[in-house]
Amino acid sequence: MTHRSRRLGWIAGVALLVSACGGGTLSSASASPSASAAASTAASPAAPAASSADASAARCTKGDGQLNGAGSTFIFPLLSKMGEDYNTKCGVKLNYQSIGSGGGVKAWTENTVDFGASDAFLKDAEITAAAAKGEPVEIPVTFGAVVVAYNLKGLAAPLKMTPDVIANIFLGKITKWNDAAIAAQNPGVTLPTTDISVVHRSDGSGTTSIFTTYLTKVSPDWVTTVGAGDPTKSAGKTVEWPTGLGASGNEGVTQGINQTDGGVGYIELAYALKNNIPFADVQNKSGTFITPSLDSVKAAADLPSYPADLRFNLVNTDSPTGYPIAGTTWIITYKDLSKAMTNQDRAKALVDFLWWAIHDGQADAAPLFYGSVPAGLLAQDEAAVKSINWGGTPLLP
Amino acid sequence: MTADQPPALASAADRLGRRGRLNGDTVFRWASALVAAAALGIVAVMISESVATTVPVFRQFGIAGFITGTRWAPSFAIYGALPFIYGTVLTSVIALVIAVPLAVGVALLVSEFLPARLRTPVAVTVDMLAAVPSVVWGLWGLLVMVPAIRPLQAAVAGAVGGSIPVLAGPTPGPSYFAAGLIVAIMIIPIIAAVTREVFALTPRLQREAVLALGGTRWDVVRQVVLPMGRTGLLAAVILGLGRAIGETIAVTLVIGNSPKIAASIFAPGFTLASVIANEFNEATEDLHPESLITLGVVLLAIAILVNGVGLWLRKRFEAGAGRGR
Repeated sequence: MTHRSRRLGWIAGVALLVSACGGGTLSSASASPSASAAASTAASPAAPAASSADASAARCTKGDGQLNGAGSTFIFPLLSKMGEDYNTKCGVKLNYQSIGSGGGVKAWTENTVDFGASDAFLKDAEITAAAAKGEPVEIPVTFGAVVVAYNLKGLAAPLKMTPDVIANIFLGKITKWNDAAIAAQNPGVTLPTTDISVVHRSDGSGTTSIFTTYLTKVSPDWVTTVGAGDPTKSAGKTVEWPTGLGASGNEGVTQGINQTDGGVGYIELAYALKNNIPFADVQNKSGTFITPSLDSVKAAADLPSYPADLRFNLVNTDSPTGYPIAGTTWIITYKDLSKAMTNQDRAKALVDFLWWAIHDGQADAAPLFYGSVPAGLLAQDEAAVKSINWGGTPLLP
Repeated sequence: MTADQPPALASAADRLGRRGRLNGDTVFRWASALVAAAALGIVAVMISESVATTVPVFRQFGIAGFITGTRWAPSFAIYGALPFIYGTVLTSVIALVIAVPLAVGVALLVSEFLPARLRTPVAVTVDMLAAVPSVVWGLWGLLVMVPAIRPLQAAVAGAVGGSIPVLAGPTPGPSYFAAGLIVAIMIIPIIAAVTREVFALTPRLQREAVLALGGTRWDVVRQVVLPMGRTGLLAAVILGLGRAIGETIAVTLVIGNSPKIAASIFAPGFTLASVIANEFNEATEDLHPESLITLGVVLLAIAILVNGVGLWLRKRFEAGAGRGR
């Protein structure tokens, strides 16, 4: 008798467990429509602005109803806004994991995502590694800049910095704010005797890559000291810093700067603008001191011509009004998607999204402090999206 | 009467078992064995996979070369673990030096000195510190603690830093000391909770014996509570140390993340766990991910070593206590 009742108890327990699980799934299923409803109401005010931006009517291939991407943390806020708007328009959900550019390229190479996003264009070795699935296509979708932010009390105007001054600060050769090299560019400014304390990123980052690519280009000293003479070692997502504290993320670096009187570091322009952090004007190739802004970034990105594979960098460009520490984020996928994907409709959905992203989607950029695709580049971006095919058949008409 | 029950139950179970039918014991025994085997299997797979990954790293630098290497430069594909081993050991030592006296003090206060109605509220409050997620501690450390201790660090370094290299400046704020302090705060509740339970187990008769001989409460603590709780206290310290060695996020936010070895506790450093958290996401250079996994294996080895030493010390203490009685 006792045995039987115990067994009954077991069965009841299992039944309870099963029903509990069922309840869980039900409630999560019922939660998702309300979530998407909230997303659509949030997105609706922006929708008219987006539709007026461009005449080229975007198509909406639904595919599996979702697209997966991974990579750059820099582009994440923009891509999530774009994803929201595109979902409202076409009913295709964009799942983007902001795991960092390197991780995004890796995930794309391993074919676990439909596209990668990276703040650096693919290295030759990365193209070779991905060759089994075909030739990559790299589409610049947004632009950003890296600013030199500092914490000095009582300065009325932004400090002016030459490339040499920036390099020497981050090399640890200029150690006081009233150094003659800084004072020479800032006549009339009373500079404090405070020690300079450098903060850099401790995690691998596209921001570091843009900043060190710039230093490598403008300072032979930087290449000698940090890269032992090899420019491929003095520029990248991680370098061997000669001085300073390491902090994780833009917010970590910002905290490090804010907490130390005399702190200096490099952060993304978008982050600095959003949080009202003071930053320096930087002398560009033409000798002009340029205030970092969306306009000066756009000017820097407006090159007279772009390479056919769209692998270019924007540091120290010839543009007379361009800010010299600018960078690009590329969306990376395959030219022929038939090897990487199993479903042609999904490939069509990806191409439709990319087309939308370089046209109507660009309206999301400026409000979030991202630089949009300059007119001179758009034709090549369009050609890159149009070149994506399915075993030779174009996916866009 | 109560003492007779377990054997009686056991023999009853034996009788049931001898009938050879499928009974609760058999099912339970096999289910337990299966679950235990799965746990062991997972650990075995984890260790073998991690250790397999270390092979190319050790082949490149040698085991001793990797462990004693002082330069960590992914851009040059040069990887040495010593700055991180040093940082892990130093921050753990700082944490224990700060946490153990405080935790034992709290435990004694609760078990010996507080009136009964205050014991539970104080104990629960301290316990609740253990429930604060480590990222919250880390952010609090970065935003509140580091600015608060910066003047203190500067003052100490200014006063004695010239003659004592361990306390020398400059004092940027984030440092081994800041990391040790935040970890100390995190392990106080763990050590306090365990020692409190241990102290509470001290037999009433022994306490009353000391009091009856005219001893004070302090005499009770010194002559009965602490000697009898020695083994438990050691276990608590080992538990705290285990947490201190592996703490990642809180440490990475306040240690300054600089892969260098500095004598001063006010200098920025790095630990094994925090470098893995910092660099693994974007580790695409040659041998970089493998080297980070190797650091994980080193961390595992240190943890095993600490536990081994803890076990050995406990055995010695228990043997000593046995002789004492």
